[in-house]
Amino acid sequence: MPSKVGSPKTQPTTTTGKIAAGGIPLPRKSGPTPSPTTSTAGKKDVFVSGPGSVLASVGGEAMVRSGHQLLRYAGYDLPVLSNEGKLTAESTLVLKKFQADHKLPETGSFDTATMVALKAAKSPTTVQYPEYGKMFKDGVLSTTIAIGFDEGGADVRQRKAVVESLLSRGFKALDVAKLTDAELKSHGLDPKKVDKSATYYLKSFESDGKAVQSLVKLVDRSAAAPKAQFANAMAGDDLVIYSGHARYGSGPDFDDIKSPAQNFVIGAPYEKGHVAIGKNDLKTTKLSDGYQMMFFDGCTTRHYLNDLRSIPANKSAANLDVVASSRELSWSTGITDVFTMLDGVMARNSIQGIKSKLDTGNANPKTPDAAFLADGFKGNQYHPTTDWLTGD
Amino acid sequence: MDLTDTSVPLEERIAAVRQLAEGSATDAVIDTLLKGLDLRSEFLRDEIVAALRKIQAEPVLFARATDREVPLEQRLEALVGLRNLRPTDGRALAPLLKESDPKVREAAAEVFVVFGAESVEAQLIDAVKDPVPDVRYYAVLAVGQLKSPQAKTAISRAFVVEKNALVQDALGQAARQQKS
Repeated sequence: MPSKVGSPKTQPTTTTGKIAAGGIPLPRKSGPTPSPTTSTAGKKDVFVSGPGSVLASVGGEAMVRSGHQLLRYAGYDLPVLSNEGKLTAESTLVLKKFQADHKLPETGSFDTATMVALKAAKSPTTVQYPEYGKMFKDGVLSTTIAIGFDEGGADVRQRKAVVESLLSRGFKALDVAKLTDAELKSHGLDPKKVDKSATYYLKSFESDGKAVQSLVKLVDRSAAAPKAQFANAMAGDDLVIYSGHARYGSGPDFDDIKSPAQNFVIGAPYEKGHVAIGKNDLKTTKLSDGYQMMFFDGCTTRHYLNDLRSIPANKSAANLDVVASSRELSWSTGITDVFTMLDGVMARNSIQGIKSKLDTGNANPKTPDAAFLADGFKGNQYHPTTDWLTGD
Repeated sequence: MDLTDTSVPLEERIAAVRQLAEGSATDAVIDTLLKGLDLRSEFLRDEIVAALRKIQAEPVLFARATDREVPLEQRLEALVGLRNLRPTDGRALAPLLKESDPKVREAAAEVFVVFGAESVEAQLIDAVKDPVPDVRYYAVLAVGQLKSPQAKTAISRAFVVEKNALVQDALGQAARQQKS
């Protein structure tokens, strides 16, 4: 299992269990009482400001970690943070937005006044989230990014851009074919859930005080058996992202439109005569009993919802949330869409925040129509908490 | 008409494409059609490709792509158009793999991933050693589609020396292609 980072047992605390810096107690929570491990009693206010600050003080890093989580608790979406205890340029902007919204000086610092305001704030109940607690429970966020085939080769460029984007975010290729089961376990991965014929990228990140492995499987025309690999994703991944042609509402496709061989059929095409498909694969693929989130980034993929919501007997809005498009999309926004979703999930953003970014990225100034719809989410239980932080 | 304007009903945009297909291959017509290829709509793409064929845009696109006096953006758009038209013979594009501008070399190598790699095998094998990773990425993919001993040797040698993580991803794809 991956080691926990900043979990209650390792979180630096005062001997009284309160955040050292600033002496601001967190909201009282019913979670386990952390064991004090590091005494920082006697420290005065530690103001941590500016992106990339060198944090010499343990109390300072703890306060930034607390501050970030309190921002989430207050309903403010943050970027992906490799180290929750360090302010970045992007998280500083979010902090300043909070300060502006609360008529505080925009210091970009977790100063005393800001921490008091953060402690008192809580996001409105209308803000909803994917079930991040369930997605990250086993310490692995398993994601498939599938890129649909384009007869003009646009998917080849998309694949390159996906890999570039993963590498730029610190993901590294994981050659699973050469790894033993023990080595896979050392990465925090379950060998039974890894497809040794597939291409994977891996990155560690911090979520709710725990280390989580973000494991991304790539599926496209170059995969050994793309349809089968995509079916595996539908059967078990936490997050399934498809970007490509919608094939007239019939489902993802990884080869030429005239070939039915690599179509994962999700429904009947809304117009006959264009796409060759086989039987509906939702009838033969058992989707995970657990929670899943799916994002279909193609033209009017809302058509997929008809069968996704009616065929899998073990799926409902309680364990499947879907983001689909309601109109045509461009190739030039595809990669941004894919990483708006992956980054948003890794950062535990609200679905409203994710959808807003997707809609903005695909906005047409001549029409107010949103490009995407979010289906499900309403009954979700997850909400950012401060349980894992030091409490009083 | 802007074919990517989704506030205009698709039927109207398709009608506009069909109307353009009745005209001649002027620069304005070709530019309008090429821009529409950015949309992922299969309806529209099929109509645009049919229109480009009907107005016989292929020789115009070859000329644009290979003319160094044409602005870079237009040359790259012409290559996107050719990728969609998939002409049977792409040898006229081979000199682009040696141009000084890496963007042109990259786009040319990308075209050969989609069609015609067989006819320029030697030039593509050379491009596997291009100093720019973006060029090598597509050159590796194009060579990966070839099954000749020279192509297989080029990929296996590149595996040994390649240090760039992006190109290593292309090598993984190429190796799978050559094994299949």
